[in-house]
Amino acid sequence: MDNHFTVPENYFEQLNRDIQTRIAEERLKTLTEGKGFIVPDLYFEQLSSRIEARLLPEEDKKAVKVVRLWNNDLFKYATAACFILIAAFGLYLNNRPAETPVMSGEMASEQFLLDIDEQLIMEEVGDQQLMQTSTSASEQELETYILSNYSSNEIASNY
Amino acid sequence: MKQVEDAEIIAKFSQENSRNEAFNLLLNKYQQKIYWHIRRLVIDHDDTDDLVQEVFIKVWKNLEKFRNDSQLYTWIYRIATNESITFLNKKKLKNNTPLDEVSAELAESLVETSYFNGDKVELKLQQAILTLPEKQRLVFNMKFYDDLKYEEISAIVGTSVGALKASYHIAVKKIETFMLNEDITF
Repeated sequence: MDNHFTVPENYFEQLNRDIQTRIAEERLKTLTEGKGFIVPDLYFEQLSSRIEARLLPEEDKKAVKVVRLWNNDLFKYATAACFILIAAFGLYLNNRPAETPVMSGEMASEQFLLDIDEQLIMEEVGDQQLMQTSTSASEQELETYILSNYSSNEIASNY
Repeated sequence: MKQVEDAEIIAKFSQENSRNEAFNLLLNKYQQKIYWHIRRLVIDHDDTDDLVQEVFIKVWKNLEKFRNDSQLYTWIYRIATNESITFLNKKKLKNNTPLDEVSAELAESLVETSYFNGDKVELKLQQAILTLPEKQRLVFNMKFYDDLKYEEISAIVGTSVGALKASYHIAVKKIETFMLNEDITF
């Protein structure tokens, strides 16, 4: 007689294996109650409270109120304004033409003289004074000489 | 004490005023299951204690974001499994020991620990389990001790039901062989 029922592929092979497993399992269970391990006295009675005690610090961390500075609109706008001011000032300083140091003539010469040997300056100044003195003296002598040796008419006719 | 439904826990947790109550219900419902699940993987009680606390702290932090597309207990089991495997991997790296030697260390700690009082057969069974590769050990524990369905284990470890059945079969056979070879008569 045809059997119209079907079974999953490899069913009977696996059934054989599963039955063997169950038998071995039952034999193992008759040997042992699986109660070799023990725990300290009152361990499970106290375990819940110990876990909850460890959770308390975690909850405290969550409970710390965090005040966000950025939540205040006024603070936000004030910070933005400060930032713009600082940026603008920096831009202004950056774009300003570079100033060259201007020295007065006196300061410039003073600065210049610092670089020259002092002995050389003394000699130069001495020569200048000598030249000025000798020039003014000869002019005076010349004038005296002219006035004493020439009449006013002669002077007028020559010029 | 009557255990509440997961849906009720999630609903209460979503309300600020009943959040602590919901978490307390969740702890009462799952703390022992999660403890034993981790304990069978990492063996040592103190390590388990640390991991259990880490798991439930993660649950607390993430339960609000939990989507109902998976069941609550498979989600918690998944967190616990990941934490345990991460712990074992760190232990392996820290001591620079291969994984099979980590299992040997765990087997030794079974004898040394003051929190194991099983008889000879019980001890041999645990040692047999510790000879399994990590994935087989995980599947064996969840099926043999936690009595989870393959579909549930699949949701936790992300492996197909067919592969889990094969893995469990191999694990049971290996343990059976280990027990027979170690002079334990069935």
